[in-house]
Amino acid sequence: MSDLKIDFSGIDPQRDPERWNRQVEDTLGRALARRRGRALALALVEWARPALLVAASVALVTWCGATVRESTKREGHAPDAAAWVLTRWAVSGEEPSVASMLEILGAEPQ
Amino acid sequence: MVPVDDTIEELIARARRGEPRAFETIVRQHLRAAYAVALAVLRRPTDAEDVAQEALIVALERIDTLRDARQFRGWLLQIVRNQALNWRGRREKRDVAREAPEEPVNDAPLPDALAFRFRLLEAMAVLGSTEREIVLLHDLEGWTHVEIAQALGISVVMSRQHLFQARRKLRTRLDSGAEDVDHE
Repeated sequence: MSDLKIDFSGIDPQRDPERWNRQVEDTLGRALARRRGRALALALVEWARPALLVAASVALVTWCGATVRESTKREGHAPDAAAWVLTRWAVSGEEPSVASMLEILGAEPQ
Repeated sequence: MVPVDDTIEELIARARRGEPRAFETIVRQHLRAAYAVALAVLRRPTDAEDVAQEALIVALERIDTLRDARQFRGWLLQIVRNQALNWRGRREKRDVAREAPEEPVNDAPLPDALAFRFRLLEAMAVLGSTEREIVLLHDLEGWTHVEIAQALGISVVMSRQHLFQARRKLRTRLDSGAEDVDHE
């Protein structure tokens, strides 16, 4: 007895072929639409990643350049000024003021 | 079952390339199996149809994440089970909120086909979840024991045993139900 198949025709969705085909078409349509949406999202992510990398690199280079320029400017100011004051002192014998000496030694100008 | 032209590996490879024909073949070949497993969990045909559709859509959406194409059926059926369990959870909450009975209560006699359908669904309640899956995949969808064993991760012998038990229990239940109807 248990070798015979159970008759499941009452709950077989294919008993109504038209309705079944509609289900297949509907599933297929939705699957393809979602797949396309996912592919688009993945493409955007794929494009976004290198774009972000480029933007980050540009920002980094710009920031580094600005920092180096700024530090060179700051470092360059003191030796130039010191050389100028010393040269003037040596050539003309004119003593530098206390304020300019302090500035050369690194004190912030008032 | 829908005739198989390509191997499942070829079909999956084509689906991964986005070929709509491959999608269609996969849907046609597996929608009823997905329905069978969803029905085994939910025991309501209309719910099972919705869950089977959604599970196949999810599976096709995530087809790139499947590591071994030969495991597609087992992977798909696991997605179906998860979707069905989630659905059942939501349904239980909804039913409690509405305080609705499981099936509409109606004293009017049902047409034979509908009565048989109800008896079948009611009889399936006596089976365990795996027994329901196996008897539906075998007797409704037409899978072989090798296919069932592979998809469910059990032995062929175990599949045969479950099928034998499931059929015996179902017949007993259906026959007793039929006798009750005759006596009335």
